[in-house]
Amino acid sequence: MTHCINCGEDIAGDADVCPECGVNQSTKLEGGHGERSADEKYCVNCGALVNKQAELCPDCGVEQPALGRSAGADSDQMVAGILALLLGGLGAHKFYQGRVGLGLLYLCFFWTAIPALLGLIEGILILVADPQEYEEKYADGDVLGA
Amino acid sequence: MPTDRTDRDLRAGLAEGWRATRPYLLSHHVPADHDRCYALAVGDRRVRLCARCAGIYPGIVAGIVAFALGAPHTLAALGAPAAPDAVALALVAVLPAPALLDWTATAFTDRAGLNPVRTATGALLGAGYGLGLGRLFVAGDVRVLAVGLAYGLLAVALLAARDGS
Repeated sequence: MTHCINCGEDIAGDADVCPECGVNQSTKLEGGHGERSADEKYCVNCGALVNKQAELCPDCGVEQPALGRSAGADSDQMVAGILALLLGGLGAHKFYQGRVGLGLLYLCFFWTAIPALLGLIEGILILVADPQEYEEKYADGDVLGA
Repeated sequence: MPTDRTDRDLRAGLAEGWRATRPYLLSHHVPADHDRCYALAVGDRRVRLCARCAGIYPGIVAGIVAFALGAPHTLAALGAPAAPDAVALALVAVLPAPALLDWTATAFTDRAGLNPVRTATGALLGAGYGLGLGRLFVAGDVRVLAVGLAYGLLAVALLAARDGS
């Protein structure tokens, strides 16, 4: 179990979206919600209100996930392509595109060199695509644009 | 591709990508799964280290060293018989199995698992992988690729089953 970053409710540990408030758990929070002010978020572990920039919860010490973009939100094509080419083995382009699960998969299998190969291919595909093709096929972070 | 981007925008975007990646570099898990990590005190910070990978990487090194020590010319020079190729291939095939079984048990049941077990099975997995690297690239044993493909397909199937459940 974990706490929603927006409303603090208990949600499933693998939930991408809070069933209570509907907020994507990896998105950047905008504005306040209920007791949470605009520059705060809820700790995913203990539910305490912490600074939105906090990397560690001061109450329980648990590391907080970086709040980036939600999957499919505006990601820069060139940034995604360069991250894929240079740090694809670490899944950096997936984390950038809001696909935390896929990024973790790349990290966990880094030692096989397969993520690096996938990153190289994805980086080339992303950089040679025209903007519309990028938005349609690659912006959501699916592997090889599938 | 859009050309109205400035260098500063590009650097800012790359920095954003790095910031999104950095929290997971050693933990390999979201905070809700940090029980699968070791919590190490580094200065005044707590660093999470994936328990499985804490065994995999040293295991790979051990596997490569073991291959080097087990290479026929090395053992022959030391006066010991070389391990048959079949034994070496069997080790490559069998050593990763405990890690796969342990991961499957914790992914599909309510078992929380134990981090020392994750590390130990990760070390065996890494050793098998390191041995396999030696068998493939030095001894030219392409059967290692078949073993790797089998485990890869099995892993993909299990991941798909887990995500679908």
